[in-house]
Amino acid sequence: MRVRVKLVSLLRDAVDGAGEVVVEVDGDKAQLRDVLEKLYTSYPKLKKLIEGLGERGLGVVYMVNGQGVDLDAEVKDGDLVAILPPASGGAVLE
Amino acid sequence: MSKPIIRVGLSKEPVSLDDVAARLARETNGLGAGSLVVFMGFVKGVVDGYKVNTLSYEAYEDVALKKMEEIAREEAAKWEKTYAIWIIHRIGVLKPGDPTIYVFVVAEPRHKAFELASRILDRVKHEVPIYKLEAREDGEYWILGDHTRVRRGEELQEAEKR
Repeated sequence: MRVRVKLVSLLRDAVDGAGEVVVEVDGDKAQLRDVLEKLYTSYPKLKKLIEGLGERGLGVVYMVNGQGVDLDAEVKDGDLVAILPPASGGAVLE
Repeated sequence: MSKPIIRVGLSKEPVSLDDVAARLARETNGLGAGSLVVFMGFVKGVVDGYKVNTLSYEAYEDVALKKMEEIAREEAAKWEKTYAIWIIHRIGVLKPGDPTIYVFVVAEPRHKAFELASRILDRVKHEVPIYKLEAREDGEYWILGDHTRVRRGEELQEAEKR
């Protein structure tokens, strides 16, 4: 299956400036954590960047099709995943 | 009481304060409204002693619009005499002095309109996925969370060392 992953702000710089990356995962559905692991194999810097932000209290949130989710969330073919750092001028997104 | 007017938008262009205010006054005066509060943010020309060249805004647009509308509806629901809330956030590359966000509130009495505008502004800044990149004379900075500035490229270099 193919999933689009949207990246904004400094996360975009970690995927060579692409605002959206397509990730292919085996099967018809997967957990979000599996999609991210696949993404990180192509962009190991992204994983380290996200970990570094988390350690600074700037943890990211994940969305699937515009809804906030955790890493256990199910992701299907065609879904749009977003990885969002804290909004500029605010705390972590709720 | 009729439902309040709720409007939200993301705009690449500045809006006319006069036009929006006049339109809202026309639309709400017959309902008994007589006070309109506007907050307008604009790009600072100097930050931390350094000259700012541009401030670029990007939004996760669908979610940003949905969240702005949710904030407006929730805040309107807290005060019965809220007649209108209109939030417009700029996106794109802005220069010092350019407007960045507009919050219009029509409510009675006037102190409630001020309170609402203030609360809505705080919530938009905290909860809506909109991101800033500040380009100034000493470099480019991503702005994250409560005013944390991350020099562009520095975090990636740190990540590579991990």
